[in-house]
Amino acid sequence: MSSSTDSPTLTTETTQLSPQPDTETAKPTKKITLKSSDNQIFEVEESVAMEFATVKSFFEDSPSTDTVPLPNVTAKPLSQVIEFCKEQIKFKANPDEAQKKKYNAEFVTEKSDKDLVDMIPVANYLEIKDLLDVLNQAVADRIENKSVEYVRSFFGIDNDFTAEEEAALRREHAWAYEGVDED
Amino acid sequence: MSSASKALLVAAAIGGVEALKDQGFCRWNYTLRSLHQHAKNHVRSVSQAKKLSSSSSAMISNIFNEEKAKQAEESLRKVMYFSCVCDEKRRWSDLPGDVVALIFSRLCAPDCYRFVAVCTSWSSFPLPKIKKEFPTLVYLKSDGKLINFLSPLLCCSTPEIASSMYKNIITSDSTNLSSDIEDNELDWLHKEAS
Repeated sequence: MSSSTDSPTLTTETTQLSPQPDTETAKPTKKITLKSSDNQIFEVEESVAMEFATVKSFFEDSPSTDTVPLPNVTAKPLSQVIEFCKEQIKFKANPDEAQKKKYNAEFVTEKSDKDLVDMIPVANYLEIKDLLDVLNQAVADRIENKSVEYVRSFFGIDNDFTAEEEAALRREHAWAYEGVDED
Repeated sequence: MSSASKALLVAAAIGGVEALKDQGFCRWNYTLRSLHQHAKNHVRSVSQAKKLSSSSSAMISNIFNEEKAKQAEESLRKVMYFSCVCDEKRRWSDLPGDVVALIFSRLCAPDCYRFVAVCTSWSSFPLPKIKKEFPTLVYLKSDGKLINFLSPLLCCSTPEIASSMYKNIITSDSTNLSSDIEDNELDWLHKEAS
């Protein structure tokens, strides 16, 4: 459920993503509407939407539709994913590996743990390989050398082991618990 | 078929997928795809229902039908919504195995061996094989002439753990690590000789 604090930012993001008048007149491109599970509407250029393999196949199946419902995607991670894909398209048109690396690094460093974690299922569902690679690496960097408890809270995972099961696993791989960072 | 019962069918189908997921029969990705498919079907069925209702307006009360379609749409939206909320809460413990595996592949072996204790679904992921190129510790032998390479995994504090780890290396990767060390020594000897 989207909290009340989220709503204002979501609205502004939606407005930011709507077509800019100057680009509209300069190059009329087809717009595709994406609808998140919390009923936020995102209007993106076709080229951006085609970065999402899932959306692309949706259009191949039913070309006449203009709104794609994304029942597993909430607005916030979706807006961030769209932001990433827009930049990637610029790099596709204008390849600059160094700039791209810099952008990708900045994109993840400025995100909170929760934002990263929320984006991964979205990138996975929409099948955006580049983003998934970037996110996985960023998450791996953040949980590297951390404790099991830290990783649980990082991903919001509940411990579903019994005390005995967990103790057994810890004993089995006792060597892996040496020199772990403080939480 | 009325739109309400259609919507119920779709809802039941989603419920079925959810149940399957609970039993661990289908993977996360598959569930998503199914949900997506259902969403598409839903869009079609609702529009079909609307077409039907407008064409039969002469015979049946149109308003009544529209009302029903709206209700069905609303109930379906709720079902979709709840299934999403459900996913939100537990998606990382039954996260797509392949995604966690991708993250694991970017971690060092000790991290992976430790994180299997995070939750039961993570404990079922195959642990990475300890590769030949696993970073080795470089040290000088006491005479100072020979450079040695040693896997840090073998330098554990107690011999007991070291031996069990050694067993892990042999069972997970048929390559004998000690021969690697010897190979490395030989390489260096060759380099020193040349």
